[in-house]
Amino acid sequence: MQMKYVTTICPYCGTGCALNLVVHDGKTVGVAPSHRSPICSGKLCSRGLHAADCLGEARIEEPFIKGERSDWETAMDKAGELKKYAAGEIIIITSPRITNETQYLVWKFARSLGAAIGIINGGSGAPTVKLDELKDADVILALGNVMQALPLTGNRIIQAKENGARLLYIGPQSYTAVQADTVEITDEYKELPPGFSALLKNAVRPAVVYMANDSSAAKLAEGLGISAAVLYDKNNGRGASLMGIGPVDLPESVKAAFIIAETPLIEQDIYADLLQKLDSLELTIVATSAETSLLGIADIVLPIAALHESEGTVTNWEGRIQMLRRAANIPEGVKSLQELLAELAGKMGLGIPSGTPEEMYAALASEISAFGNITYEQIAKPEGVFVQEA
Amino acid sequence: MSEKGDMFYAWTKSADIKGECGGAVISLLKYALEQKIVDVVLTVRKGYDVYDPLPVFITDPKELASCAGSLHCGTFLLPKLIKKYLNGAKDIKVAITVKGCDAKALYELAKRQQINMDNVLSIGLNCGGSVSPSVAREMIAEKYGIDPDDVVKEEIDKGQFIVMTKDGQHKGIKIDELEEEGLGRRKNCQRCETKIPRQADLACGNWGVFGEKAGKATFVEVCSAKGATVFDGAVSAGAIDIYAPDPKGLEIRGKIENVMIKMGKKAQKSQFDALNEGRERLTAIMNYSSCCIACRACIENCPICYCVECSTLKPHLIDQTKTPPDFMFHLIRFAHIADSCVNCGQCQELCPAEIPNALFMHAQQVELEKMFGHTPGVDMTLPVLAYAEEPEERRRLNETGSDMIFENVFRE
Repeated sequence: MQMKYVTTICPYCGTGCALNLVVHDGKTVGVAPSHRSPICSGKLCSRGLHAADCLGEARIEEPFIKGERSDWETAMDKAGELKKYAAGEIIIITSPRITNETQYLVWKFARSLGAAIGIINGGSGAPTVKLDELKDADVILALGNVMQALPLTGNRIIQAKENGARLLYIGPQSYTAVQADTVEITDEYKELPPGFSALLKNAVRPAVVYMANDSSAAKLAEGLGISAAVLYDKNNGRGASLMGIGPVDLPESVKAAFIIAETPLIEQDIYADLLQKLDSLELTIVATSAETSLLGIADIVLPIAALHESEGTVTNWEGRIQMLRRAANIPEGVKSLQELLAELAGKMGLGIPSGTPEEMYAALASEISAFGNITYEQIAKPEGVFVQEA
Repeated sequence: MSEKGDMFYAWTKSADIKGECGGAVISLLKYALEQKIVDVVLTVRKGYDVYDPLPVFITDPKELASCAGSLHCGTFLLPKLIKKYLNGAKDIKVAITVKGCDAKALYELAKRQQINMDNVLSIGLNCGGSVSPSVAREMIAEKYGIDPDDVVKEEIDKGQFIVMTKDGQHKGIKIDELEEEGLGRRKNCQRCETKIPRQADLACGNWGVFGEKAGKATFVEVCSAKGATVFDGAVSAGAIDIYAPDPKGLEIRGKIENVMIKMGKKAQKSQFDALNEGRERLTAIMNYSSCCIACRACIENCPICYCVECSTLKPHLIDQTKTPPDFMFHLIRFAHIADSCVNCGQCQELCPAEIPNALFMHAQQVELEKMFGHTPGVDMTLPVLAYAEEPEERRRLNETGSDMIFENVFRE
């Protein structure tokens, strides 16, 4: 019997809580708190507590072509047909869940192909406040149900309230609304309700909190000129945003799509708006570790490693880079995303960087300035390292 | 041959084991694993740094030396890991190190048939309380003026929390002073009265070791026949050396224990008083609980919770779509757990909504203990609820002329 804890980062929201995966004879069997985490001190929400289950459920362990089981050689040959399309006819759709290093490779792949790249459930915007600084705010304006979307970020708002802060809220009826002292229930927020401005103006340390993919909240928040916590909904949304990857735009000219769909079962509806359009394309390639709604429309499905089978770094909403550690081996018949991209690039006659995760980080850091001057070793500390803000 | 109640100074005979105070605990564990008295040792080892103790499951005796030394930032509870990951020790023999709350949790899990005690060897570790890693780092930076990353060792001695840096700098601050500012040990540790876990098979620590033996010997109290057998075996196998305790050492140990128990009682009074009584207390509990996100971390980590079908997941009792959940969520937990709460603190330190759950539960436990005389975690006596056979209880109540529980149970 071999049993050990592997300290890694929660695969869900952009708060970046650390957790320990309990590994029994090479299989992840549970989640234990990581009290050492400066972000969560061992606390986890319901999603983090069940991270071990989600990483292993509904896995795909062999390639599919048009819904039929296939083998890697055939599937990769077929995927190589991507090269038949002109640069403007291809779109790469990526996921905000993959590591900084693999995101960099996806980005390089798109660049060397000259193709457009977009992200599902990403976001944009740079926060001007850190997680722990929220505790010291005296008036906090929450736009939308931020406390439920990122529960351990919500934890700092609860702590601020215990310290006497006043919580203002604009948004739909929600958990955050229940916690707030002053509430404006609305489905859209264009301007501050009467009274809110005065409360913010009289505050010594006011802060506004909103989601990085909520453009109307961003517009409202920018006008306030106060400290802003811009919350990324996914574990590495900020990392993708720092690489300049924006939302998906699917113009009529697109004929082929390569989609990295690292999506837990409970979120598979995130592609709902795109499904019809993607279905009409000539070629749709989906790389995923688990079942997704995209399987129904994909021409080619390529199974990739799940997050707990990967090593690398992720960036939380604050811009804190932390280490994701491998807890389990990649199942037989499944490739790492890096391996898959290298092979596909090879087939298409493209060159993308290759190497260990540490070497990939160095390559990323040399190209994207926010990650520069930070070493892999520094990131391995439980505190991680903050990216360099422009 | 030793027996329950015997006490010794003990130390390792192995040069490879560098324990905190003589290395007797590691030697005893190593002996048990080598002699196949147990199949696995569940204990704690330093992870990234002194603020990162991690539970380890050890099957290779050679690995045990790396677990030597004490870490005061270990705030987790080990026994539930036996239930979760070792099938309740039903078919595997486990040695486990336990502080007071672990020892009590072990008994409560065993009472509920979640752990098979026949297969468990427990080595108790005296505990004056533990400090959350985040609090420790914050406190060392702000109160000690030391970079927490420079600290290579920490200890609790003579009422002080002492840190040592890589440059050999020592600094201690009185725990009382730290705790007055909301720092120091966890709140539940402050309230704790189980300092020497005699529920374990052996209780070990450095209290009562003084003079030239200080730092070189472990004070061991034999607490069960199983403990005596393992202890004697380790002595005759040459794993540890022993010496009869000095009467002065016994006195010192007794004094430390008593002082700490008094501190625990004092902390209970001040923390429970701050909660007020009756309606005011209920209002305070309801206010705090209104931040609940129903993540169920309190239930997952509670050593009393073991139900396969948890009542808080039943839609006819709790609307599963509401966050925060109705107060009934918390009432169910109080009703199911309060009589057996061992004040381990897990429900509080792991609560993402900062609800002082352990304070609420412990406050109720002490009241229930006054009413029913049941003390959780000290032995295998079943809790109050286990005694209530419903038909019999109904009959008893009916005979009093009222089936009002309040009338019958709570009225003097």
